[in-house]
Amino acid sequence: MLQFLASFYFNLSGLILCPLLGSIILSVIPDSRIRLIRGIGLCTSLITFLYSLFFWIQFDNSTAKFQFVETIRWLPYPNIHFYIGIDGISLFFVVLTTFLIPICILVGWSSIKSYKREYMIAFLICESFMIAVFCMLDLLLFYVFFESVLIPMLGPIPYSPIIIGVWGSRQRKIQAAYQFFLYTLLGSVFMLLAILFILSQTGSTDLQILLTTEFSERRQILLWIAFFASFSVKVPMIPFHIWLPEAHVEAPTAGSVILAGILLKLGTYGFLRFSIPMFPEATLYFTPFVYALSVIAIIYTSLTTIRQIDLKKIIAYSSVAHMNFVTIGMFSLNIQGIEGSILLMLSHGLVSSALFLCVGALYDRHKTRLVKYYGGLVSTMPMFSTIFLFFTLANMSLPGTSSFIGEFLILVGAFQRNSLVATLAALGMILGAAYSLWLYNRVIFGNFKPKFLQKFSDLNRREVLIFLPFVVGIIWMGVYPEVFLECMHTSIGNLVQHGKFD
Amino acid sequence: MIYGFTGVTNFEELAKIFTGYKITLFGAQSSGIFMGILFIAVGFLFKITAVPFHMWAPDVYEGSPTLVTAFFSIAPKISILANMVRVFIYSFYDPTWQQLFFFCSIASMILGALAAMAQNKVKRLLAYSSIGHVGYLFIGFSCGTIEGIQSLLIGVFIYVLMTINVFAIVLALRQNRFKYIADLGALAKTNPILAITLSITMFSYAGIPPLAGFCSKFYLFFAALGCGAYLLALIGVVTSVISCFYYIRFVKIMYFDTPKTWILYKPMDREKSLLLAITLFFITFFFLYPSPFFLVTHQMALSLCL
Repeated sequence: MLQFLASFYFNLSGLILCPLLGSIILSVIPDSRIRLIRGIGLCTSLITFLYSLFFWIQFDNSTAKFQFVETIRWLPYPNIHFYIGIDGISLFFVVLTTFLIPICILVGWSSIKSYKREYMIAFLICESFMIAVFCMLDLLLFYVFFESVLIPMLGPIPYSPIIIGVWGSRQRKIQAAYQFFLYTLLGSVFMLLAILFILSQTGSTDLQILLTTEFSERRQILLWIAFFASFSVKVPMIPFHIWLPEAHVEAPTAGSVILAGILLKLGTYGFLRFSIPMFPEATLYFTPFVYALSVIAIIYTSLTTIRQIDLKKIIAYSSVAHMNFVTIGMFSLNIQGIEGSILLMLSHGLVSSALFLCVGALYDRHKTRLVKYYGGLVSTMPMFSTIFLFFTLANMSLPGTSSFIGEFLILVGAFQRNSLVATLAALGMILGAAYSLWLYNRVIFGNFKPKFLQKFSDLNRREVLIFLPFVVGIIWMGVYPEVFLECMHTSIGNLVQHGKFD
Repeated sequence: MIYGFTGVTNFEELAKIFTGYKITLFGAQSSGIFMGILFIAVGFLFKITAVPFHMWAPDVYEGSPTLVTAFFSIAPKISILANMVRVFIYSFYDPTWQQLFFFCSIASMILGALAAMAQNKVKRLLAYSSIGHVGYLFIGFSCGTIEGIQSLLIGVFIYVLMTINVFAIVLALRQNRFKYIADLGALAKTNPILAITLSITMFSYAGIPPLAGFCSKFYLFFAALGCGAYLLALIGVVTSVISCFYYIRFVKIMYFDTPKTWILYKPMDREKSLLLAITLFFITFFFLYPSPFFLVTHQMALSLCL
């Protein structure tokens, strides 16, 4: 029976189209039948998740070539086609994406009151574009999907319920959405120019062809800077990180989950897939620059996190710190560093999303995100406290959780390259422990604040079931990461050897 | 004047006369011909509302009845751009004009992006945005390569569709004196489909993937980079982002602002809704299958030059 299933030809384009089909079906259903809308949305996303698991099962670990490759003709004259394929690096991002979207849909199950259908459609379209980004092997179309994620993301940001309170005015939401949009767009148009330049000089945007073309060092440096402009805003790296806390604070819970879980990975994935392989000399040239920015980012954001008062901002800044850890690992340009960076990306996708879900649970109940209103939650919300403890420890990179493995590998890799950077980054780990534990302490332990909060309720069944896959994933990756790492070995080894980095 | 100095007005004959004929800014062999061509160019630029000669556009766009505005923001652009392609690329092919058009294009893009930010009347904003768009089309025109002409043709076609869409929406809301942008407020609640249509069209104007406006812009920048006009492409890209700001402002006003007086919109007639549907469909799904269109315009561009 398994043989019969294995002989099915699983199509990557089917995976990309599946959420789109769901959104088309959803668009014809009237707004009043909420249960049907939610059911269809959830089923579509679960089917997509199972579909993507089939790719993982059928993935061949022994080769670094792209698998499940398909070509759909788009523009014959300038040689741009929809060229889709997965290799060890992108496989897990696709699985992560399809894993997080059902969770987001479940999160919005009861808290989104208006525009339910548009919310679902936006998420499904977003999912489809994100899977396309991770599968696309053609530069220009990668850029197209990279940017098209902005439009559906822009949608759910302002759709959180209207608060009749002090925080979260519409003005701030609009400003956050503007900032998000314009920051990303400005960085990206330079990348568009670079891609068009590559197209006009080499005649193709196909990645596999471009991997074998050699650019001169000066040209590589210019192109690398253009690509960096776009990716560094998404990562986010230090001068361009301001949009992230704003966007997280103003977005609804599910929007934050997607933002932290997947959108941040787009930037680092772009570095890994395009900047480093295509421009090896420029990468070596700019490595000290990236290291400097990342180390400053880690230390600066960790210190800033300590003085934040808004729950979501704390986790947003800690996201920035983790992603800059990832860039340190990537630019150490050896196998341990890059594997550590991918593992930390996956683990960050799980841990940060789970933390945002925890904050979302608190926010749904008490409608405030300020730390000073919370205290002594362990007595009234014991299940929540346990789960929150688990994710806080994971955020801190406790050994046994996936982020420990990721950070450890990154530090090993970075130490081989430059021990000062590794030491400073490890300092960031200590600060990470500081703010995580302090946050947990303030919110969960300590005295009640009966002046502010009188009614409490622990997590309901839906929320516990949402958190369970995250717990399983983090422990699995932390205790036996080889399952994940074995798919990546060949591809990353190929990458390192291709750039002659060893 | 051209006739006076060369004795012909036929395009082909002019092409034969002017090949190899260096017309430089200083010391032309016949300054009369130079002046003649310059006057022709200026005349064309006036009608297209390109920058040094655009002053009439915002006022006229605002003052005329919307139907007339819609007509003359679309039709003259098509016809005069086609005419310019014939005249300047077929007959007077020369790098002197390229510099003039470079300048016009850069100035149009910059002006279109910056001036539109301060507007609060719809038709003036559309006027400035069409000036900016003409700047982009000029990028394609001023590099005289085949890709340039092809990108110009694609850009014109997509511009026409987007403009039809926008003016159809403006006309549909015309019943209730739709003059200021703020009148659009809360369109999302009273007329959600129209709001989505307008926002998609605005995103397409801004050049955001994966809509049709992005396809036209990317091909225009590709043509510019291909012929070495790096400054043009750079300015084009930066002004694209600047103009994105006020296009998104439309979306913001529709979805988030409440107008001072709630305006009730009458439903529009069937022809307009059909037109809006067709153009919206095209703008959204052009990205998925653009190749026949690109092939056709490529053939058109080739046939012009050969």
